[in-house]
Amino acid sequence: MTVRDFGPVVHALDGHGREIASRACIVTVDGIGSRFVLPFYVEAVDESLRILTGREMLQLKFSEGSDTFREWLQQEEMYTPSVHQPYRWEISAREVSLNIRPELIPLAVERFGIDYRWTSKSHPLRIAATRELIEFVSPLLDVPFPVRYDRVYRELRSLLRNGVTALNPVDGPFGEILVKLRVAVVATGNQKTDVLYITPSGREKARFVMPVELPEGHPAQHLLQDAEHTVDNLRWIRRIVRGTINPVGMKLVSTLALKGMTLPVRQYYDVEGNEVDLVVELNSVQSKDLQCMLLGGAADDGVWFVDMLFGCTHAAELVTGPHNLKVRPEIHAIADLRLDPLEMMQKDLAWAEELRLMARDLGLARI
Amino acid sequence: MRVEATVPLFVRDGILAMPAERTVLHGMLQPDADVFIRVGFREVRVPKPDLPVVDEGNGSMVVLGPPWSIMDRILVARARGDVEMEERQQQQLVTWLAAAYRRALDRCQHYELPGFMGTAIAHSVVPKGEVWLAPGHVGKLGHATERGIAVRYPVASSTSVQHVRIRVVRNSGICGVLIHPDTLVEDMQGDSDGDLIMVGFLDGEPAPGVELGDEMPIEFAECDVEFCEPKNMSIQELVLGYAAKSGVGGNLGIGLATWMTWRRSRTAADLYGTNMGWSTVYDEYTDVIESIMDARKHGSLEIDADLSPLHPLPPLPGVAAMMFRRRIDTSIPAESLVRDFWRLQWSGATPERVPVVEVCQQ
Repeated sequence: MTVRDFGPVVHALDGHGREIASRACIVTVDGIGSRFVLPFYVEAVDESLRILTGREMLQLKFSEGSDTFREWLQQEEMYTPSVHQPYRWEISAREVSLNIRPELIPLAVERFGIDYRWTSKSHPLRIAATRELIEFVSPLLDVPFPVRYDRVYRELRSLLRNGVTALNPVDGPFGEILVKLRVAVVATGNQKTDVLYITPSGREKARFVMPVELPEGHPAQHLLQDAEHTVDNLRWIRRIVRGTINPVGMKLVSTLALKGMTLPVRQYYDVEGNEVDLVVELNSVQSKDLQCMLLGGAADDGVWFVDMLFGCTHAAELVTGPHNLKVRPEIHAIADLRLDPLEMMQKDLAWAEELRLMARDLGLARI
Repeated sequence: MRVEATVPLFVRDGILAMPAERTVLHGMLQPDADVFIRVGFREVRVPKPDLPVVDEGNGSMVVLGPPWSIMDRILVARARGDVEMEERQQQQLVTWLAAAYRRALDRCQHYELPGFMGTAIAHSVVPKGEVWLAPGHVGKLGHATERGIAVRYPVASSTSVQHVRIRVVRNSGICGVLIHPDTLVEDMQGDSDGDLIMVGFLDGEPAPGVELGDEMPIEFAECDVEFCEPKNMSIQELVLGYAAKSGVGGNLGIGLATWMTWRRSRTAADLYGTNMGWSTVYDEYTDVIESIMDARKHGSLEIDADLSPLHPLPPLPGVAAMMFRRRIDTSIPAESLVRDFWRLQWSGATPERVPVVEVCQQ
């Protein structure tokens, strides 16, 4: 196996002199035919730019001008710095896409010094970290107890990429998206539900702001603070409303993999009379293999108190509301529903039949 | 009524279309009339329109897309005597029709119930068998009824779907779908870290309300902690664990309606009836899913040898797999095709039989 090493770093500018890509590197492993893209590759070929993103190859001619570039920039908006997700770009620029067969991953990991434990939950082992990235996030992992790094890295990736701006930021690395909360870990006798009970003091400290784009008529629309009505994409006349919200029910993610949706509870206090911000079930801590964390915390009669850093990645309001349930045959059968499914889809059936008749008119026996 | 075009038209796809005389659009706007145009030497009906009319401030406009735009171009081509363009448009119409028919059948793979979606919030204050809908500051709920079904997405087993009684939380501060912890974790195999629960409203009186106050109670219990050091997985274990996940046909998130389950459920339906057939097959796979999930955590896959074989098949639901592979007979009414699909049958293609003895052993 021969390896062509990391390619040159390329800086590409759009028609207005704005940098659209930097740190673009590529590694090609001859014989395997795979690439590691970091995070995308740009090269000048004759009179065009060849751009390799994590998903596709784009070839743009210089003569197509800035409109094409602007369109492309909109597609790749996730790569541009955002004031609401301050670290998304920082993380993306230090990740590697592994588009190779799983059995080759150990080989590639060893050859290129990649940390495989940093991965995506939805695309496991397709995303990995460079050593530079692990060094970048290491201040958050400087803890005096052992942790499951594959779990911690996976959630940390989600937190740092998707974490939105905190209104009460902490000092220190990644402080813009983190808040420090006093956590009480208690046994409730419940399952490992991952609920995070948030007290009034926690609700005061854990406030975040997130940008939102909603279709007109969305039930959460009235939560937008700086709503701007926009007609997006004239071809299909899609009306949207842009703005920001401060989530109330939210998904909090800690730097140590503890995560869950919040549920408001009354105020609690620790042994020294300090306000507790979050209450967490012991089962949820153990299911994340984080119980060693409790050894350093103050304990009082079966309750442990520890300080942790949390960020917010989702707002419950955005996915809560009226929503039609799509019932497929398996759900219909399992739930033993007595409805006639065909009665429920008259409109689609009528349209299908009309198309079939058109096909018959055209003399098509099969299509 | 047959529409002819004798003048050049200016109708374009997706932009503005005025109901000009002697166009397809003009014909469609005639109430209760069957409209035909000549395509080649055949009279072809123009489908009844459901035209999106939008108000753009300066007046109303109609967004005209295929097949009407293609049919209009056929009219234009004939009016101009442009034979080549007319033939090209005819071919485009056939191509569009084949794709559109599949899309239409594809939509008939599900029907919609009015309902409510929210993140799952487990709390023991909710009795088993109930879900409490908490719209939070969003405030809107739709017309919730007292009876319905709750589905945890993705569907992981037959117990991911539960018949429930529905209540509506009157607080403004709680947001999501409240559910008993045992129901969520044990029955639905979910948790409260962002899992979604879809609730479909069935029938009955409007759902009663429930007052919770703005803060929920927590009940403390005895605890037992093992302070053992966690075990980090090696790269080989991680690869093995994730390979186990992909070994059953890709993403489990779409549900287990792979061709394999389809095939087996068809046979099971012969034995137990349609509904029991599905449940039987789903339950059969529940253990497999749990093994796979464990494999992701521990890096080794152990599946009971008595369970059905798993094949790395495409994760297409059965009917989609068939639709994209076969040419569909246009002599069969669409309703028959869809009815067969919902009965787990498919006209003209008998699913591969699984030996009865194999099913009986499950």
